Amino acid sequence: MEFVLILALFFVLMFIGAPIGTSLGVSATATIIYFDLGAEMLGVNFASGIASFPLLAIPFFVLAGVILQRAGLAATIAEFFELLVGRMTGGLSIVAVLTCMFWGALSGSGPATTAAVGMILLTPMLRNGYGRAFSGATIANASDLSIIIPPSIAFIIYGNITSVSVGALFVAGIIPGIITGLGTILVAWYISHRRGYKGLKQRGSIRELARAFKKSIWAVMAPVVVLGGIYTGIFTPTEAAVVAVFYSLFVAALVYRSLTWRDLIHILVDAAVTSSVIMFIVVFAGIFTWAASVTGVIDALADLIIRVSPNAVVMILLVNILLFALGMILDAISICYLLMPILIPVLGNFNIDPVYYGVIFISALAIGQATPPVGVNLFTAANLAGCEVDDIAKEAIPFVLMDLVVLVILTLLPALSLYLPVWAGLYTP
Amino acid sequence: MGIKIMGIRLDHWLVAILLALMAVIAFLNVLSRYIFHFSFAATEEITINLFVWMTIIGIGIAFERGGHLGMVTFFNRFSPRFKKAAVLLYSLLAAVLFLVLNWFMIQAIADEITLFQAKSASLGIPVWIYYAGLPLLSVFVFQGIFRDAKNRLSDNRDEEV
Repeated sequence: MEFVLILALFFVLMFIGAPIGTSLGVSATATIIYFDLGAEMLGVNFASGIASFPLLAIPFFVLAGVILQRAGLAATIAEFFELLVGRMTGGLSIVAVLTCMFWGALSGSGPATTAAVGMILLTPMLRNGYGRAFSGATIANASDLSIIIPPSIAFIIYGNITSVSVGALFVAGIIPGIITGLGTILVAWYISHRRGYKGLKQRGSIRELARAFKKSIWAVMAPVVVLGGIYTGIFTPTEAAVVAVFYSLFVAALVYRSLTWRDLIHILVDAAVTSSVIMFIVVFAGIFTWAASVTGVIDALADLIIRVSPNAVVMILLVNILLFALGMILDAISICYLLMPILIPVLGNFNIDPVYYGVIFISALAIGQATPPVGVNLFTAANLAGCEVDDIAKEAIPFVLMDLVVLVILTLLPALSLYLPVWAGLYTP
Repeated sequence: MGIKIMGIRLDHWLVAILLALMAVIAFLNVLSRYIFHFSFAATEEITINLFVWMTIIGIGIAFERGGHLGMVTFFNRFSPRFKKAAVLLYSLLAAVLFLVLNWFMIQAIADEITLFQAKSASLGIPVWIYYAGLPLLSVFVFQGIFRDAKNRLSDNRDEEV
Protein backbone atom coordinates (compact mmCIF):
# COMPACT_ATOMS: atom_id res chain seq x y z
CA MET A 1 0.00 0.00 0.00
CA GLU A 2 2.80 2.38 0.94
CA PHE A 3 4.28 2.52 -2.51
CA VAL A 4 0.93 3.18 -4.15
CA LEU A 5 0.62 6.33 -2.04
CA ILE A 6 4.13 7.57 -2.77
CA LEU A 7 3.96 6.99 -6.53
CA ALA A 8 0.38 8.25 -6.96
CA LEU A 9 1.12 11.45 -5.05
CA PHE A 10 4.31 12.02 -7.03
CA PHE A 11 2.63 11.64 -10.42
CA VAL A 12 -0.43 13.71 -9.52
CA LEU A 13 1.83 16.57 -8.38
CA MET A 14 3.96 16.32 -11.54
CA PHE A 15 0.77 16.32 -13.60
CA ILE A 16 -0.51 19.59 -12.12
CA GLY A 17 2.84 21.24 -12.91
CA ALA A 18 4.48 21.27 -9.47
CA PRO A 19 8.28 21.52 -9.53
CA ILE A 20 9.95 18.08 -9.56
CA GLY A 21 11.61 18.74 -6.19
CA THR A 22 8.29 19.69 -4.58
CA SER A 23 6.64 16.58 -6.05
CA LEU A 24 9.39 14.29 -4.77
CA GLY A 25 9.58 15.99 -1.36
CA VAL A 26 5.86 16.12 -0.66
CA SER A 27 5.14 12.55 -1.76
CA ALA A 28 8.11 11.16 0.20
CA THR A 29 7.39 13.19 3.34
CA ALA A 30 3.70 12.31 3.31
CA THR A 31 4.54 8.61 3.01
CA ILE A 32 7.15 8.77 5.77
CA ILE A 33 4.80 10.54 8.19
CA TYR A 34 1.66 8.58 7.32
CA PHE A 35 3.28 5.17 7.72
CA ASP A 36 5.56 6.30 10.56
CA LEU A 37 8.83 5.43 8.84
CA GLY A 38 11.10 7.65 10.94
CA ALA A 39 9.89 11.20 10.34
CA GLU A 40 11.99 12.68 13.15
CA MET A 41 15.06 12.27 10.90
CA LEU A 42 13.58 14.39 8.07
CA GLY A 43 15.23 17.69 8.97
CA VAL A 44 18.65 16.17 9.60
CA ASN A 45 18.41 14.06 6.44
CA PHE A 46 17.62 17.16 4.41
CA ALA A 47 20.88 18.75 5.58
CA SER A 48 22.99 15.61 5.26
CA GLY A 49 21.62 14.98 1.75
CA ILE A 50 23.32 18.21 0.66
CA ALA A 51 26.42 18.13 2.87
CA SER A 52 28.57 15.82 0.77
CA PHE A 53 32.04 16.51 -0.54
CA PRO A 54 31.54 14.82 -3.97
CA LEU A 55 28.33 16.82 -4.56
CA LEU A 56 30.27 20.01 -3.84
CA ALA A 57 31.66 19.61 -7.37
CA ILE A 58 28.24 20.70 -8.69
CA PRO A 59 28.21 24.36 -7.54
CA PHE A 60 31.89 24.70 -8.49
CA PHE A 61 31.51 23.35 -12.02
CA VAL A 62 28.39 25.47 -12.49
CA LEU A 63 30.29 28.54 -11.26
CA ALA A 64 33.24 27.90 -13.60
CA GLY A 65 30.81 27.52 -16.51
CA VAL A 66 28.95 30.76 -15.69
CA ILE A 67 32.24 32.69 -15.40
CA LEU A 68 33.47 31.45 -18.80
CA GLN A 69 30.09 32.20 -20.35
CA ARG A 70 30.05 35.78 -19.03
CA ALA A 71 33.59 36.20 -20.31
CA GLY A 72 32.28 35.48 -23.81
CA LEU A 73 34.38 32.39 -24.31
CA ALA A 74 31.77 30.45 -26.29
CA ALA A 75 32.07 33.04 -29.06
CA THR A 76 35.85 32.75 -29.03
CA ILE A 77 35.71 28.98 -29.38
CA ALA A 78 33.09 29.19 -32.15
CA GLU A 79 35.27 31.69 -34.02
CA PHE A 80 38.22 29.32 -33.90
CA PHE A 81 36.24 26.36 -35.20
CA GLU A 82 34.68 28.57 -37.89
CA LEU A 83 38.12 29.31 -39.30
CA LEU A 84 39.11 25.68 -38.97
CA VAL A 85 36.16 23.83 -40.56
CA GLY A 86 33.81 26.61 -41.72
CA ARG A 87 34.63 26.02 -45.38
CA MET A 88 33.48 22.39 -45.41
CA THR A 89 30.02 21.44 -46.68
CA GLY A 90 27.62 22.28 -43.87
CA GLY A 91 30.51 24.08 -42.23
CA LEU A 92 28.53 26.11 -39.71
CA SER A 93 26.55 23.09 -38.53
CA ILE A 94 29.82 21.26 -37.91
CA VAL A 95 31.12 24.34 -36.10
CA ALA A 96 27.97 24.19 -33.96
CA VAL A 97 28.54 20.55 -33.04
CA LEU A 98 32.22 21.09 -32.20
CA THR A 99 31.44 24.17 -30.13
CA CYS A 100 28.75 22.26 -28.23
CA MET A 101 31.23 19.45 -27.53
CA PHE A 102 33.76 21.91 -26.21
CA TRP A 103 31.24 23.86 -24.22
CA GLY A 104 30.00 20.58 -22.80
CA ALA A 105 33.50 19.95 -21.56
CA LEU A 106 33.31 23.30 -19.80
CA SER A 107 29.79 23.34 -18.44
CA GLY A 108 28.22 19.93 -17.93
CA SER A 109 24.54 20.76 -18.43
CA GLY A 110 22.51 20.19 -21.61
CA PRO A 111 20.06 23.11 -21.70
CA ALA A 112 22.81 25.53 -20.60
CA THR A 113 24.94 24.43 -23.56
CA THR A 114 22.01 24.76 -25.96
CA ALA A 115 21.46 28.30 -24.75
CA ALA A 116 25.13 29.34 -24.79
CA VAL A 117 25.90 27.98 -28.26
CA GLY A 118 22.49 28.78 -29.73
CA MET A 119 22.82 32.45 -28.87
CA ILE A 120 26.10 32.65 -30.77
CA LEU A 121 25.62 30.38 -33.78
CA LEU A 122 21.91 30.47 -34.66
CA THR A 123 22.02 33.89 -36.28
CA PRO A 124 25.01 33.15 -38.56
CA MET A 125 23.47 29.77 -39.46
CA LEU A 126 20.16 31.34 -40.50
CA ARG A 127 21.97 34.09 -42.41
CA ASN A 128 23.85 31.45 -44.38
CA GLY A 129 20.67 29.69 -45.48
CA TYR A 130 20.46 26.84 -43.00
CA GLY A 131 16.90 25.81 -42.10
CA ARG A 132 15.64 27.24 -38.81
CA ALA A 133 14.48 23.86 -37.49
CA PHE A 134 17.61 22.07 -38.71
CA SER A 135 19.87 24.60 -36.98
CA GLY A 136 17.92 24.31 -33.74
CA ALA A 137 17.89 20.51 -33.91
CA THR A 138 21.65 20.34 -34.56
CA ILE A 139 22.44 22.49 -31.54
CA ALA A 140 19.89 20.76 -29.28
CA ASN A 141 21.24 17.35 -30.16
CA ALA A 142 24.89 18.28 -29.93
CA SER A 143 24.22 19.76 -26.50
CA ASP A 144 23.21 16.30 -25.37
CA LEU A 145 26.84 15.44 -25.61
CA SER A 146 27.55 17.79 -22.80
CA ILE A 147 26.19 15.29 -20.30
CA ILE A 148 28.41 12.49 -21.65
CA ILE A 149 31.55 14.59 -22.08
CA PRO A 150 33.22 15.22 -18.72
CA PRO A 151 32.97 17.12 -16.49
CA SER A 152 29.38 16.13 -16.27
CA ILE A 153 26.93 16.76 -13.46
CA ALA A 154 25.06 13.60 -14.42
CA PHE A 155 28.19 11.54 -13.73
CA ILE A 156 28.66 13.24 -10.35
CA ILE A 157 25.10 12.26 -9.42
CA TYR A 158 25.51 8.72 -10.79
CA GLY A 159 28.71 8.31 -8.77
CA ASN A 160 26.99 9.65 -5.68
CA ILE A 161 24.16 7.11 -5.92
CA THR A 162 26.21 4.06 -6.90
CA SER A 163 29.38 4.88 -4.88
CA VAL A 164 31.47 4.54 -8.04
CA SER A 165 34.50 6.85 -8.41
CA VAL A 166 33.43 10.03 -10.20
CA GLY A 167 36.96 10.45 -11.56
CA ALA A 168 36.78 7.03 -13.23
CA LEU A 169 33.34 7.88 -14.66
CA PHE A 170 34.63 11.19 -16.08
CA VAL A 171 37.53 9.48 -17.81
CA ALA A 172 35.24 6.67 -19.02
CA GLY A 173 33.06 9.27 -20.76
CA ILE A 174 35.84 10.71 -22.93
CA ILE A 175 35.93 8.17 -25.80
CA PRO A 176 32.14 7.60 -25.92
CA GLY A 177 31.64 11.38 -25.90
CA ILE A 178 33.98 11.82 -28.87
CA ILE A 179 32.33 8.95 -30.80
CA THR A 180 28.87 10.41 -30.22
CA GLY A 181 30.21 13.78 -31.38
CA LEU A 182 31.66 12.31 -34.57
CA GLY A 183 28.34 10.58 -35.24
CA THR A 184 26.49 13.89 -34.87
CA ILE A 185 28.95 15.63 -37.21
CA LEU A 186 28.41 12.89 -39.79
CA VAL A 187 24.63 13.41 -39.72
CA ALA A 188 24.99 17.21 -39.89
CA TRP A 189 27.39 16.87 -42.83
CA TYR A 190 25.18 14.39 -44.70
CA ILE A 191 22.02 16.48 -44.37
CA SER A 192 23.89 19.66 -45.34
CA HIS A 193 25.33 17.82 -48.35
CA ARG A 194 21.88 16.70 -49.54
CA ARG A 195 20.26 20.08 -49.01
CA GLY A 196 23.15 22.06 -50.41
CA TYR A 197 24.06 23.97 -47.24
CA LYS A 198 27.41 25.32 -48.41
CA GLY A 199 30.41 26.12 -46.34
CA LEU A 200 31.56 29.66 -45.66
CA LYS A 201 33.10 31.44 -48.65
CA GLN A 202 36.06 33.15 -47.14
CA ARG A 203 38.98 31.04 -46.17
CA GLY A 204 40.77 31.65 -42.90
CA SER A 205 44.42 32.40 -43.57
CA ILE A 206 47.03 30.62 -41.50
CA ARG A 207 47.71 33.88 -39.72
CA GLU A 208 44.03 34.37 -38.86
CA LEU A 209 43.84 30.81 -37.65
CA ALA A 210 46.90 31.33 -35.48
CA ARG A 211 45.40 34.52 -34.05
CA ALA A 212 42.08 32.80 -33.29
CA PHE A 213 43.95 29.90 -31.75
CA LYS A 214 45.96 32.22 -29.55
CA LYS A 215 42.79 34.00 -28.50
CA SER A 216 40.96 30.81 -27.64
CA ILE A 217 43.89 28.89 -26.19
CA TRP A 218 43.00 29.89 -22.61
CA ALA A 219 39.47 28.65 -23.05
CA VAL A 220 40.64 25.48 -24.75
CA MET A 221 43.06 24.82 -21.90
CA ALA A 222 40.30 24.82 -19.24
CA PRO A 223 39.05 21.26 -19.87
CA VAL A 224 42.66 20.13 -20.27
CA VAL A 225 43.51 21.45 -16.81
CA VAL A 226 40.40 19.93 -15.25
CA LEU A 227 40.51 16.54 -16.98
CA GLY A 228 44.29 16.30 -16.92
CA GLY A 229 44.24 16.82 -13.16
CA ILE A 230 41.64 14.12 -12.65
CA TYR A 231 43.24 11.80 -15.22
CA THR A 232 46.63 11.86 -13.57
CA GLY A 233 45.08 11.46 -10.15
CA ILE A 234 46.31 14.85 -8.90
CA PHE A 235 42.80 16.12 -8.15
CA THR A 236 39.56 14.60 -7.02
CA PRO A 237 36.65 15.83 -9.18
CA THR A 238 35.60 18.32 -6.47
CA GLU A 239 39.12 19.71 -6.25
CA ALA A 240 39.33 19.86 -10.04
CA ALA A 241 36.06 21.81 -10.03
CA VAL A 242 37.35 24.41 -7.61
CA VAL A 243 40.59 24.70 -9.60
CA ALA A 244 38.40 25.24 -12.68
CA VAL A 245 36.64 28.10 -10.86
CA PHE A 246 39.87 29.96 -10.18
CA TYR A 247 41.29 29.14 -13.60
CA SER A 248 38.15 30.62 -15.24
CA LEU A 249 38.31 33.63 -12.98
CA PHE A 250 41.95 34.18 -13.91
CA VAL A 251 41.19 33.82 -17.63
CA ALA A 252 38.12 36.06 -17.50
CA ALA A 253 39.65 38.80 -15.36
CA LEU A 254 43.24 38.93 -16.56
CA VAL A 255 43.31 37.51 -20.08
CA TYR A 256 40.00 38.67 -21.53
CA ARG A 257 39.58 41.56 -19.07
CA SER A 258 35.84 41.23 -19.20
CA LEU A 259 34.83 41.13 -15.56
CA THR A 260 33.89 43.73 -12.97
CA TRP A 261 33.20 43.27 -9.26
CA ARG A 262 29.49 43.83 -9.81
CA ASP A 263 29.52 41.18 -12.56
CA LEU A 264 31.16 38.84 -10.10
CA ILE A 265 28.30 39.16 -7.59
CA HIS A 266 25.72 38.46 -10.30
CA ILE A 267 27.77 35.50 -11.51
CA LEU A 268 27.95 34.11 -7.97
CA VAL A 269 24.19 34.54 -7.48
CA ASP A 270 23.34 32.91 -10.82
CA ALA A 271 25.68 29.99 -10.18
CA ALA A 272 24.34 29.51 -6.64
CA VAL A 273 20.75 29.51 -7.91
CA THR A 274 21.48 27.12 -10.81
CA SER A 275 23.26 24.78 -8.42
CA SER A 276 20.36 25.03 -5.95
CA VAL A 277 17.87 24.11 -8.68
CA ILE A 278 19.85 20.88 -9.12
CA MET A 279 20.29 20.32 -5.37
CA PHE A 280 16.55 20.91 -4.74
CA ILE A 281 15.92 17.80 -6.85
CA VAL A 282 18.94 15.90 -5.48
CA VAL A 283 17.99 16.35 -1.83
CA PHE A 284 14.34 15.42 -2.18
CA ALA A 285 15.10 12.59 -4.59
CA GLY A 286 17.37 11.25 -1.85
CA ILE A 287 14.53 11.40 0.71
CA PHE A 288 12.16 9.90 -1.88
CA THR A 289 14.56 6.98 -2.44
CA TRP A 290 14.85 6.50 1.32
CA ALA A 291 11.05 6.35 1.67
CA ALA A 292 10.70 4.13 -1.39
CA SER A 293 13.30 1.67 -0.12
CA VAL A 294 11.60 1.41 3.28
CA THR A 295 8.28 0.68 1.57
CA GLY A 296 9.92 -2.17 -0.37
CA VAL A 297 8.98 -0.80 -3.78
CA ILE A 298 12.64 -0.73 -4.85
CA ASP A 299 13.28 -4.40 -4.10
CA ALA A 300 10.03 -5.36 -5.77
CA LEU A 301 10.89 -3.48 -8.97
CA ALA A 302 14.47 -4.80 -9.00
CA ASP A 303 13.12 -8.34 -8.68
CA LEU A 304 10.70 -7.68 -11.50
CA ILE A 305 13.46 -6.47 -13.84
CA ILE A 306 15.65 -9.47 -12.96
CA ARG A 307 12.76 -11.86 -13.54
CA VAL A 308 11.68 -10.50 -16.93
CA SER A 309 15.23 -10.24 -18.35
CA PRO A 310 16.75 -13.51 -19.55
CA ASN A 311 20.22 -11.95 -19.84
CA ALA A 312 22.20 -8.75 -19.36
CA VAL A 313 21.78 -7.45 -22.92
CA VAL A 314 17.99 -7.74 -22.77
CA MET A 315 18.01 -6.04 -19.38
CA ILE A 316 20.09 -3.11 -20.71
CA LEU A 317 17.77 -2.86 -23.70
CA LEU A 318 14.61 -2.88 -21.57
CA VAL A 319 15.99 -0.25 -19.21
CA ASN A 320 17.08 1.90 -22.17
CA ILE A 321 13.53 1.89 -23.52
CA LEU A 322 12.33 2.93 -20.07
CA LEU A 323 15.00 5.68 -20.03
CA PHE A 324 13.87 7.13 -23.37
CA ALA A 325 10.29 7.21 -22.12
CA LEU A 326 11.19 8.87 -18.81
CA GLY A 327 13.68 11.21 -20.50
CA MET A 328 10.81 12.75 -22.41
CA ILE A 329 9.05 13.94 -19.25
CA LEU A 330 11.70 14.18 -16.52
CA ASP A 331 15.17 15.69 -16.20
CA ALA A 332 18.30 13.52 -16.11
CA ILE A 333 18.95 13.96 -12.37
CA SER A 334 15.51 12.85 -11.20
CA ILE A 335 15.65 9.81 -13.47
CA CYS A 336 19.06 8.92 -12.03
CA TYR A 337 17.62 9.01 -8.52
CA LEU A 338 14.41 7.21 -9.41
CA LEU A 339 16.03 4.38 -11.36
CA MET A 340 19.57 3.81 -10.10
CA PRO A 341 18.64 2.51 -6.64
CA ILE A 342 16.47 -0.07 -8.42
CA LEU A 343 19.23 -0.93 -10.87
CA ILE A 344 22.13 -1.39 -8.44
CA PRO A 345 20.98 -4.88 -7.32
CA VAL A 346 20.10 -5.70 -10.93
CA LEU A 347 23.64 -4.82 -12.10
CA GLY A 348 25.05 -7.05 -9.36
CA ASN A 349 22.78 -9.87 -10.41
CA PHE A 350 23.94 -9.74 -14.03
CA ASN A 351 27.57 -8.95 -13.19
CA ILE A 352 27.51 -5.72 -15.16
CA ASP A 353 30.37 -3.31 -14.52
CA PRO A 354 28.99 -0.12 -12.86
CA VAL A 355 31.39 2.26 -14.64
CA TYR A 356 30.62 0.79 -18.06
CA TYR A 357 26.93 0.86 -17.22
CA GLY A 358 27.25 4.48 -16.09
CA VAL A 359 28.29 5.50 -19.59
CA ILE A 360 25.42 3.52 -21.16
CA PHE A 361 22.92 4.88 -18.66
CA ILE A 362 23.95 8.52 -19.08
CA SER A 363 24.09 8.18 -22.91
CA ALA A 364 20.57 6.77 -22.97
CA LEU A 365 19.44 9.60 -20.68
CA ALA A 366 21.09 12.14 -22.97
CA ILE A 367 19.14 10.83 -25.94
CA GLY A 368 15.91 11.14 -23.96
CA GLN A 369 16.71 14.81 -23.30
CA ALA A 370 16.54 15.59 -27.03
CA THR A 371 13.93 13.06 -28.07
CA PRO A 372 10.60 14.10 -29.50
CA PRO A 373 7.85 14.67 -28.46
CA VAL A 374 9.03 16.37 -25.29
CA GLY A 375 12.70 17.04 -24.58
CA VAL A 376 14.28 19.69 -22.41
CA ASN A 377 16.89 20.66 -25.02
CA LEU A 378 14.35 20.80 -27.85
CA PHE A 379 12.32 23.37 -25.94
CA THR A 380 15.36 25.54 -25.28
CA ALA A 381 16.41 25.32 -28.94
CA ALA A 382 12.90 26.05 -30.24
CA ASN A 383 12.76 29.12 -28.05
CA LEU A 384 16.06 30.44 -29.38
CA ALA A 385 15.47 29.55 -33.03
CA GLY A 386 11.99 31.02 -32.96
CA CYS A 387 10.16 28.00 -34.36
CA GLU A 388 7.80 25.25 -33.25
CA VAL A 389 9.06 22.39 -31.09
CA ASP A 390 7.37 19.96 -33.50
CA ASP A 391 9.47 21.18 -36.45
CA ILE A 392 12.68 20.86 -34.47
CA ALA A 393 11.60 17.44 -33.25
CA LYS A 394 11.14 16.27 -36.85
CA GLU A 395 14.61 17.50 -37.81
CA ALA A 396 16.06 15.84 -34.73
CA ILE A 397 15.02 12.34 -35.83
CA PRO A 398 18.13 11.51 -37.93
CA PHE A 399 20.35 12.73 -35.07
CA VAL A 400 18.49 10.57 -32.58
CA LEU A 401 18.78 7.53 -34.86
CA MET A 402 22.53 8.09 -35.05
CA ASP A 403 22.70 8.43 -31.25
CA LEU A 404 20.92 5.09 -30.95
CA VAL A 405 23.43 3.44 -33.29
CA VAL A 406 26.28 4.83 -31.17
CA LEU A 407 24.53 3.64 -28.01
CA VAL A 408 24.34 0.09 -29.40
CA ILE A 409 28.06 0.24 -30.27
CA LEU A 410 28.91 1.47 -26.77
CA THR A 411 26.77 -1.29 -25.25
CA LEU A 412 28.40 -4.04 -27.31
CA LEU A 413 31.98 -2.80 -26.79
CA PRO A 414 32.55 -2.15 -23.05
CA ALA A 415 36.23 -1.47 -23.78
CA LEU A 416 35.29 1.90 -25.32
CA SER A 417 34.19 3.02 -21.87
CA LEU A 418 36.57 1.04 -19.70
CA TYR A 419 39.90 1.24 -21.56
CA LEU A 420 40.88 4.77 -20.50
CA PRO A 421 39.99 4.63 -16.78
CA VAL A 422 41.71 1.25 -16.43
CA TRP A 423 44.76 2.45 -18.36
CA ALA A 424 44.97 5.57 -16.22
CA GLY A 425 44.90 3.39 -13.13
CA LEU A 426 41.73 5.06 -11.85
CA TYR A 427 39.65 1.93 -11.87
CA THR A 428 39.90 -1.85 -11.73
CA PRO A 429 36.78 -3.66 -12.92
CA MET B 1 11.35 45.13 -2.48
CA GLY B 2 13.05 43.89 0.63
CA ILE B 3 16.34 44.98 2.13
CA LYS B 4 19.00 46.17 -0.30
CA ILE B 5 22.66 46.79 0.41
CA MET B 6 24.55 48.74 -2.26
CA GLY B 7 21.68 48.04 -4.64
CA ILE B 8 21.86 44.28 -4.17
CA ARG B 9 19.30 42.27 -2.25
CA LEU B 10 20.18 40.70 1.09
CA ASP B 11 19.49 37.13 -0.08
CA HIS B 12 21.61 37.72 -3.18
CA TRP B 13 24.48 39.01 -1.02
CA LEU B 14 24.18 36.00 1.26
CA VAL B 15 24.30 33.31 -1.47
CA ALA B 16 27.09 35.12 -3.28
CA ILE B 17 29.19 35.38 -0.11
CA LEU B 18 28.51 31.77 0.88
CA LEU B 19 29.49 30.44 -2.56
CA ALA B 20 32.60 32.65 -2.67
CA LEU B 21 33.62 31.46 0.81
CA MET B 22 33.13 27.83 -0.19
CA ALA B 23 35.26 28.28 -3.29
CA VAL B 24 38.03 30.15 -1.45
CA ILE B 25 38.23 27.65 1.41
CA ALA B 26 38.23 24.67 -0.96
CA PHE B 27 40.84 26.31 -3.19
CA LEU B 28 43.17 27.13 -0.28
CA ASN B 29 42.80 23.53 0.75
CA VAL B 30 43.93 22.29 -2.67
CA LEU B 31 46.85 24.75 -2.72
CA SER B 32 48.02 23.86 0.76
CA ARG B 33 47.87 20.16 0.07
CA TYR B 34 49.75 20.16 -3.22
CA ILE B 35 52.07 23.10 -2.89
CA PHE B 36 52.84 23.39 0.80
CA HIS B 37 52.20 19.71 1.61
CA PHE B 38 50.13 20.82 4.53
CA SER B 39 46.56 19.77 4.85
CA PHE B 40 43.81 21.50 6.71
CA ALA B 41 41.22 19.09 5.39
CA ALA B 42 39.16 19.59 8.52
CA THR B 43 37.80 22.73 6.88
CA GLU B 44 35.96 20.42 4.46
CA GLU B 45 33.36 20.22 7.18
CA ILE B 46 32.80 23.98 7.01
CA THR B 47 32.59 24.01 3.20
CA ILE B 48 29.95 21.31 2.98
CA ASN B 49 27.83 22.97 5.66
CA LEU B 50 28.08 26.36 3.97
CA PHE B 51 26.91 24.44 0.89
CA VAL B 52 23.77 23.41 2.80
CA TRP B 53 23.07 27.01 3.81
CA MET B 54 23.72 28.34 0.33
CA THR B 55 21.40 25.74 -1.18
CA ILE B 56 18.53 26.71 1.14
CA ILE B 57 18.73 30.39 0.13
CA GLY B 58 19.28 29.39 -3.51
CA ILE B 59 16.15 27.23 -3.50
CA GLY B 60 14.21 30.28 -2.31
CA ILE B 61 15.56 32.57 -5.04
CA ALA B 62 14.95 29.86 -7.65
CA PHE B 63 11.31 29.64 -6.52
CA GLU B 64 10.92 33.39 -6.92
CA ARG B 65 12.49 33.29 -10.39
CA GLY B 66 10.21 30.41 -11.39
CA GLY B 67 13.40 28.51 -12.11
CA HIS B 68 12.62 25.08 -10.66
CA LEU B 69 12.23 22.31 -13.21
CA GLY B 70 8.79 20.84 -13.68
CA MET B 71 6.59 19.28 -16.33
CA VAL B 72 4.51 21.89 -18.15
CA THR B 73 3.10 19.69 -20.93
CA PHE B 74 -0.23 19.16 -19.20
CA PHE B 75 -0.25 22.35 -17.17
CA ASN B 76 -0.24 24.45 -20.36
CA ARG B 77 -3.49 22.80 -21.49
CA PHE B 78 -5.38 23.55 -18.25
CA SER B 79 -8.03 26.26 -18.13
CA PRO B 80 -6.93 29.48 -16.42
CA ARG B 81 -9.05 28.67 -13.37
CA PHE B 82 -7.58 25.18 -13.06
CA LYS B 83 -4.08 26.62 -13.50
CA LYS B 84 -4.70 29.00 -10.63
CA ALA B 85 -5.93 26.19 -8.41
CA ALA B 86 -2.90 24.06 -9.32
CA VAL B 87 -0.45 26.88 -8.53
CA LEU B 88 -2.15 27.56 -5.20
CA LEU B 89 -2.17 23.87 -4.28
CA TYR B 90 1.43 23.06 -5.09
CA SER B 91 2.75 26.31 -3.61
CA LEU B 92 0.91 25.58 -0.37
CA LEU B 93 2.25 22.03 -0.36
CA ALA B 94 5.80 23.30 -0.93
CA ALA B 95 5.41 25.67 2.04
CA VAL B 96 4.00 22.86 4.21
CA LEU B 97 6.91 20.64 3.15
CA PHE B 98 9.44 23.16 4.44
CA LEU B 99 7.36 23.75 7.59
CA VAL B 100 7.49 20.01 8.31
CA LEU B 101 11.25 19.85 7.65
CA ASN B 102 11.77 22.81 10.01
CA TRP B 103 9.52 21.34 12.67
CA PHE B 104 11.64 18.19 12.84
CA MET B 105 14.88 20.14 12.51
CA ILE B 106 13.98 22.41 15.44
CA GLN B 107 13.24 19.31 17.53
CA ALA B 108 16.60 17.87 16.52
CA ILE B 109 18.31 21.13 17.49
CA ALA B 110 16.53 21.16 20.86
CA ASP B 111 17.63 17.56 21.46
CA GLU B 112 21.20 18.41 20.54
CA ILE B 113 21.38 21.42 22.88
CA THR B 114 19.80 19.69 25.87
CA LEU B 115 20.50 15.95 25.52
CA PHE B 116 23.16 14.82 23.08
CA GLN B 117 25.44 17.86 22.79
CA ALA B 118 27.23 16.18 19.86
CA LYS B 119 30.32 17.85 18.42
CA SER B 120 31.25 17.74 14.74
CA ALA B 121 33.81 15.09 13.77
CA SER B 122 36.72 17.22 12.57
CA LEU B 123 36.42 20.64 14.18
CA GLY B 124 34.49 19.90 17.35
CA ILE B 125 31.83 22.50 16.64
CA PRO B 126 28.43 21.70 18.24
CA VAL B 127 26.40 20.20 15.37
CA TRP B 128 23.29 22.23 16.24
CA ILE B 129 25.07 25.33 14.89
CA TYR B 130 25.20 23.73 11.44
CA TYR B 131 21.60 22.52 11.82
CA ALA B 132 20.38 26.01 12.69
CA GLY B 133 20.86 27.11 9.08
CA LEU B 134 17.68 25.37 7.97
CA PRO B 135 15.17 27.11 10.27
CA LEU B 136 16.91 30.48 10.02
CA LEU B 137 17.38 30.59 6.25
CA SER B 138 14.06 28.95 5.39
CA VAL B 139 12.63 32.47 5.64
CA PHE B 140 13.99 32.97 2.12
CA VAL B 141 12.35 29.74 0.90
CA PHE B 142 8.93 30.86 2.18
CA GLN B 143 9.48 34.29 0.65
CA GLY B 144 10.36 32.64 -2.69
CA ILE B 145 7.37 30.30 -2.68
CA PHE B 146 5.04 33.19 -1.82
CA ARG B 147 6.39 35.50 -4.53
CA ASP B 148 6.39 32.72 -7.15
CA ALA B 149 2.73 31.96 -6.40
CA LYS B 150 1.88 35.67 -6.49
CA ASN B 151 3.60 36.12 -9.88
CA ARG B 152 1.91 33.12 -11.42
CA LEU B 153 -1.53 34.00 -10.09
CA SER B 154 -1.36 37.54 -11.44
CA ASP B 155 -0.05 36.27 -14.80
CA ASN B 156 -3.11 34.12 -15.19
CA ARG B 157 -5.38 37.02 -14.40
CA ASP B 158 -3.79 38.96 -17.27
CA GLU B 159 -4.52 36.11 -19.65
CA GLU B 160 -8.17 36.13 -18.70
CA VAL B 161 -8.43 39.85 -19.35
